[in-house]
Amino acid sequence: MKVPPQIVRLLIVTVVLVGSYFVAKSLLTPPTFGELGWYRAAALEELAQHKLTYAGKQECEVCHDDIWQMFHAGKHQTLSCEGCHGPAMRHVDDPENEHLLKPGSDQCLRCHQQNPSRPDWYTQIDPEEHLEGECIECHIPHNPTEMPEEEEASSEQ
Amino acid sequence: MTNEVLQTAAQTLPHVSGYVYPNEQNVVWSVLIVLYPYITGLVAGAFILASLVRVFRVTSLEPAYRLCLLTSLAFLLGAPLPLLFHLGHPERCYEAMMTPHMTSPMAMFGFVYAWYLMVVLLLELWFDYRRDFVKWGRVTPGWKGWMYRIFTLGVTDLSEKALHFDHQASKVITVIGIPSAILLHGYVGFIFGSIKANPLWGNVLMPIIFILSAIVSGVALCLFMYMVLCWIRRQPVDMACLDSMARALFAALLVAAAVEGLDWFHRIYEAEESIAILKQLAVGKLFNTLIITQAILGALLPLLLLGFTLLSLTSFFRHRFAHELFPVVRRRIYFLSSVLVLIGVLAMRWNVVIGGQLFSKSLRGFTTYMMELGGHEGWGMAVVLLIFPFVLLAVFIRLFLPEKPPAGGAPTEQSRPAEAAA
Ligand code: HEC
Ligand code: HEC
Ligand code: HEC
Ligand code: HEC
Repeated sequence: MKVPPQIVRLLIVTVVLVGSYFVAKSLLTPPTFGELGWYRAAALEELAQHKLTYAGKQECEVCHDDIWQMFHAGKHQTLSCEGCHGPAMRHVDDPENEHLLKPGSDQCLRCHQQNPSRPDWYTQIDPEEHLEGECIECHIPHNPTEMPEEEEASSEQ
Repeated sequence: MTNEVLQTAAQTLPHVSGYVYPNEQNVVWSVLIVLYPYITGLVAGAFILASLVRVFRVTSLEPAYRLCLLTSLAFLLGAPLPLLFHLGHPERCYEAMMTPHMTSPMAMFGFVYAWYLMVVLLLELWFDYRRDFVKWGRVTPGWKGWMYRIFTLGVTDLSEKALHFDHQASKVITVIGIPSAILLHGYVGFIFGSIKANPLWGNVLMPIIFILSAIVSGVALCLFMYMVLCWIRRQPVDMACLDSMARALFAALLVAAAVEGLDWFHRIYEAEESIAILKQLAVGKLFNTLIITQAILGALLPLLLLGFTLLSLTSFFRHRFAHELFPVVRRRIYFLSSVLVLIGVLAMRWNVVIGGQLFSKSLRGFTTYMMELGGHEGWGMAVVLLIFPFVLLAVFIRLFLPEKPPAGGAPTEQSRPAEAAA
């Protein structure tokens, strides 16, 4: 039986289309794609090139060991310093010129404000009902269950 | 105390009411994601209407057969645009095709789309048009002639046997095409239906509802286009064809509305924990689009209009009243119904896509969809993307559905050589 001419032409077109798909696929798939998983393996190296912005908690101990000691005796010990003070890599490299944020009460409320989606064990306060004033007037941020003794105690550093 | 927090939240976020998680405040699947299922639905529906002619031999629809296919093609070519503009980096879209991933229905979209475009629509059109391309190619000068000649792919054999083969092949493709059309659109419904975290979406009926409403909208679009085309060309409308389309529209709409009603009935009876918020959604934020536009204007009214009109065509009615409704009246009613249905289905897509994102997964609060006027996902873009397929269709009609066949021309299109031979 003779194959109809339509089929022959369509087969040619199909082969050309499917073929060019595979050519495109081999050309356009990034070279390191799939080496490690469903992504470009080279992406890891590119990401590693980024400059670090966070120093990590351990770095702070070297110069702020007083705060470090106090911090790890208190209820906030599980927190990260940079969680309140912001990214500190530049500060660690050059503490004299690169200053860090001293967070205000809004930062405390970010974590402690009453919110029904938070678990019960998490200490929450209602700012309207809780005592008046800036949080750090009555709580040492690095050891929040303690009251600051006197003004100098906190401005000593 | 909880109330106070909720009030504080409401003060800071005017578009949010009740309790909403932070990542739910903004509706991220925008109006463009409403358009996408709407347009693919039109594609699938128009194709299925065309398939009635080929597979189910509804010969009265023959005059609209090619229009249906071209409509389907024009809208299929327009369908990926909303998705593309929704992407933050549209220029990277090809990557989904270059690194296919079988576990994600969204990543497979490109292949489903390509299959439907290449293997179903273009092929069916090619077999149907090959004879005309050969003939038009011989008599048309200039670039148009070249285009027709290229479209023949060099197969210029017009013998009885070859034409008979064309006809058979196009039948086979239609048979493959129906499940493909259902796949193309059912899978859009599947993407929504498989999101089990969302009580409005996560529902096995979702793909079915999407397909049914797709058929409804596609048939309505073909009816609409057919009447508009006849009107523009000042041609008489083929009333038998129109009545058949109206019948198809009525039947499809009846089934679709029944299944969607069933879906809500089932939800309400089942009364899962989500039903409270879904009810609030339906009578609150979605009242205008769901109850008014989708249910009343988009389903109930056209059902009544079409129902009574079609009733007047039955022999029972004609015996009683000695006459069916006048064609003029029927045409007006069909036209109005098709427009209503088209708007109703668009509203349905809106209700699913936007509605599903308006309520919180906490089932305790709502957010608001704020649509911009300009912007790459705003009103302007939506209107342009919705008009684009019509422009494309106008071009296709000029090229492939000429009022008079090119000079010296082919015989009238509709006489099927193969059928004459059979
Ligand atoms: C709960 C948020 C919070 C965390 C976590 C935190 N701090 Fe602080 N820190 C503060 C606040 C608030 C102040 C400002 C105190 C003030 O103005 O008296 C401050 C001030 C400081 C100061 C300036 C000292 C001074 O007396 O002016 C240093 C140094 C410091 N923090 C280091 C650290 C280090 C090191 C850590 C991690 C071990 C850390 N902080 C973790 C909230 C925090
Ligand atoms: C190399 C030593 C060094 C390291 C490491 C270091 N600091 Fe400091 N830090 C200083 C000095 C010195 C000052 C006082 C700067 C001044 O008063 O001009 C200071 C001041 C601060 C202050 C007060 C605000 C300011 O910028 O003046 C904060 C807060 C602080 N450090 C947080 C941190 C945190 C958090 C870390 C760990 C990521 C850290 N520091 C690591 C030396 C260091
Ligand atoms: C990054 C989140 C975070 C921030 C910011 C934060 N805290 Fe805390 N706080 C905690 C966690 C976690 C605990 C320990 C768990 C607990 O007791 O709720 C805690 C515990 C406490 C406690 C002890 C509660 C108890 O158990 O009696 C006090 C008081 C407190 N924080 C006050 C503050 C103040 C004041 C600030 C602002 C300077 C602040 N916190 C900022 C997370 C935070
Ligand atoms: C005027 C002093 C004062 C101020 C200002 C203040 N607190 Fe307190 N706070 C206290 C005292 C005293 C307690 C312990 C007694 C208690 O539980 O009520 C306490 C307890 C807490 C507790 C633990 C509550 C519990 O149920 O165990 C948290 C958390 C807390 N404060 C956060 C804050 C925050 C955040 C701010 C700033 C918005 C703030 N406080 C401001 C005095 C103060």
